[in-house]
Amino acid sequence: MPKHTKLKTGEAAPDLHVVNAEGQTINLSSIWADKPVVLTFLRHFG
Amino acid sequence: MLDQLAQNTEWFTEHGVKVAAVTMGKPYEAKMFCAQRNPDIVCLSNPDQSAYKTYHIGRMGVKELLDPALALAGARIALAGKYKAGLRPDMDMQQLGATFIIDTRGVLRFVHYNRSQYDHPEVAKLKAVVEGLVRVTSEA
Repeated sequence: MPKHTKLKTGEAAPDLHVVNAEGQTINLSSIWADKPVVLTFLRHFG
Repeated sequence: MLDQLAQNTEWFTEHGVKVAAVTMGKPYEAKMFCAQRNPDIVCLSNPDQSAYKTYHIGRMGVKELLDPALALAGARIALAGKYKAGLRPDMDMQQLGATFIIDTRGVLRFVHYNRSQYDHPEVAKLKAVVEGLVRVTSEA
């Protein structure tokens, strides 16, 4: 498996544009702006 | 992982925490996938996998990909009819998953990179981190 610079606890979570389930482009940071979030990245297509 | 989170979404919501899932599917696929499990989960679509790359989420090597257990797991999914989209020919089978807890300041409070398709964090660990966050918030 290739080596990656993994993110670590205490670091800032990267922000970027993603698309929500309604097809709107949003900042990922908007997800945790009002409440903490458990953010999971899935292997599935969904 | 999503199934475990879906079963515990109410607990996370009661503790003031959202559950969000990034999928490689198109928006309508992501919507259907999460709605089937728990409509309170915030589902995100990332077909170009840019978020996976930005979060440095690894990929399986060919050796792991050819693991017979993975083929068996795929067959079980197909037989259960759980998510046919999981068998799409353009699916990135090598992509691994990961789970993070992020506070309202955008700081990572928990990081788990899956080492294989079978690896994921225990929900009890996630709950312990959330309880710590809630304690700090209530003391502030």
